[in-house]
Amino acid sequence: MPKKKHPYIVMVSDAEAFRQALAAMAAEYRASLPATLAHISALMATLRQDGYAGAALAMLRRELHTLAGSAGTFGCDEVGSAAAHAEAFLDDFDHARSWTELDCAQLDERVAAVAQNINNVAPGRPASIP
Amino acid sequence: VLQHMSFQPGDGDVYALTSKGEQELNAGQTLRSHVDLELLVCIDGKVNLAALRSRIPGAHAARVADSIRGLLLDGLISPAGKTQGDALEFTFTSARSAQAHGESAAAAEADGGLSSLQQQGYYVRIARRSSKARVAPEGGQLSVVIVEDEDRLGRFLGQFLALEGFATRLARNRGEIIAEFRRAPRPDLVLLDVVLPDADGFDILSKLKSHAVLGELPVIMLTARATRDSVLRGLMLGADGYVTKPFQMEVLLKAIQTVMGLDAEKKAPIHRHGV
Repeated sequence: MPKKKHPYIVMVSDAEAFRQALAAMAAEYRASLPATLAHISALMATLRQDGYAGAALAMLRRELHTLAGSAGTFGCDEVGSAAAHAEAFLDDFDHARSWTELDCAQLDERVAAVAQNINNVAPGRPASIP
Repeated sequence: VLQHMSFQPGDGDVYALTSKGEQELNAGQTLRSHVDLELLVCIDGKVNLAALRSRIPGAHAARVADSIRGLLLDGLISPAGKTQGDALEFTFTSARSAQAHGESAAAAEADGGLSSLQQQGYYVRIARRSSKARVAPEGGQLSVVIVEDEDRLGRFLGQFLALEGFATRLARNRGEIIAEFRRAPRPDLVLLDVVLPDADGFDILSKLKSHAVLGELPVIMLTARATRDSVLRGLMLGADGYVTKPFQMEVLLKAIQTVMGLDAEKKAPIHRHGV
């Protein structure tokens, strides 16, 4: 039975081969972004139902953090910046107090910016935050 | 003021990083002491010396004045003002000024400037040079454990470091981290994310650095946690480097070579397999 090769664990012989592998990985990363956005969208819907509290808030923060840390390395700088901006809002928020309409609107706006930037780098698969 | 080595920094003194100081934090290669680095991370033209002392652990606090003198002498920081009573008098010389962060001086007054330590957007590439070079085992490679929960990023790092001659292992969660540290060969370096699904990178760092055997392993924090507070916490817990995400691979490679005491001109000294 032939050995199954992992698509990206290749023997890299030179810098050009590495660049090709990176390009493939970046393409895979971009292709995964709509699914990430769908997850964020679902979390936002849950948040609205739950009054911007509970586990969904922590999960959203974590998702944004991961995006902020990885997108730039795969050439999606704007996605990473928008995610970092949204994450910073959650980090700075005083979670001891209740969410106001303005707070919700500000988070919505930042997450919408993440969605917009994801759609910009993953064309043909538009998605939006409900 | 530096003409007199008896110069004593005052509690109200505020300092700012010079461009040379910024470079020291971003060159991925420094020989400065832990105290110097901790101060360089905190100093931003807003935090006064009393507040700085409160952020440095007791063992280091006595050395703060000496460090400040050394950093001034070496041109890494410059006087930026002085707090007088409740009023702050700033002469901002740092690019990272209060205005750049959109923060009012009044907010800084309240706590000696410490609130600025929690602001996001603090990107650094710190790596302390090791005086002792790591040597690959006979017939083997230097080994790197990559603790990263973002699978693609972890694989990408693994592939890049393999190209550079390292043997790499990826751990994405608590269970895999424990397994990798129990597995032979013992790693020569750890790249450590902070936010993990079921673990905290700072806790792992603390446990590693207090471990009898693994304590001497160089650790580079590789994280999107980009605040002065986070960088300071990593350094205080004994991290040998702190590189914020997103990062450039060349920068990370330089940091890795630095903390492992390797020659930047050469790849990791290995017997390469399949490359």
